[in-house]
Amino acid sequence: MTRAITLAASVLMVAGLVAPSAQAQNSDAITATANVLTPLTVVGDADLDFGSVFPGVPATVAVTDATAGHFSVTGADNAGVDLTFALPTDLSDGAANLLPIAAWTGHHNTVDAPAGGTNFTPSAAVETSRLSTGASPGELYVYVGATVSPAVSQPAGLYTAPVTMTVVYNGT
Amino acid sequence: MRVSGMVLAAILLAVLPLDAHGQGRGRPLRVQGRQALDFATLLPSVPQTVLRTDRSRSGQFDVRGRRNALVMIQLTLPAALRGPGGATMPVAFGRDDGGFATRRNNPQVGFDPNAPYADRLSNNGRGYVFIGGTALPSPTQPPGSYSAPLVLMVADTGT
Repeated sequence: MTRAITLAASVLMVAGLVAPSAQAQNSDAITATANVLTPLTVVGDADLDFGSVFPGVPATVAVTDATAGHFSVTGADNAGVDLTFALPTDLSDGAANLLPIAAWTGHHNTVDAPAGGTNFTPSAAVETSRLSTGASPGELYVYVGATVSPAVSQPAGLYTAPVTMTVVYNGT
Repeated sequence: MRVSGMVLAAILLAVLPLDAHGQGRGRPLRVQGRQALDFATLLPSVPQTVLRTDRSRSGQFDVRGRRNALVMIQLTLPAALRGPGGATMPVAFGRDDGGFATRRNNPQVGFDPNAPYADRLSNNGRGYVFIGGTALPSPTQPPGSYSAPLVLMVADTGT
């Protein structure tokens, strides 16, 4: 009896040593990796400034004018971007008087110049562009012009409205 | 002696089913991470998906074990990758982002990597697990390198 129990214990020990649990499962790990590039930065550098306008006389600021609106964009080298605009239909004097604004014009360029790049019409629709590469990588400059049309009876005052440009990477 | 015979029989009955599972026979079960899941270069706000069938960028594990063993596959997946200064970037694994094949270049069987999955190793005891996913950088995602571990556990079901 004692011998049998001893034998049984030995068998159990051996069984334990080669226990299937030691080989029944196994695991290993790999790594998920990613490299995130520089976020986009958009700065409105200069207001679209019509200066003084006369009642009944439309005034236009072209993208090549010194008073055109100006945005600077910085981001990843040679990255494709989508430009969209939220544009006002009127400027306001803050006292319920409105000054219509329309006929938007735009120009985007990888160097800071209002010519030599791409002309476009700013709107809520996507305008695609690409940041610069080379000596000054990851840059884009956007110029904005428009026309205001004061009424003959337009009240005097300072009229303003925000012009917002949104830039996002498009993955190209 | 009669009692010892019964004891031995009981022991054998206890041990044999384990051995019959084959855990102690042949090749031991082994899992080896072969390739990282590589989202490569990302732009803020632009999601990036790596398909499980992307041979160069999908995560890959090799599994070896018993011939034709039915194995249970369980992945432990991160909810986010960690980056510079403790920044995190969400990652998502869809219902078809897991893949299993019995040969490296065979068509994969898709499975949900968020849940356990059972399949058989090949008749020479091999299996290959692939994992794809989607990284979701925010518009203000801090630039830099991000990473997180993916762990694969495989268990031999004994059948």
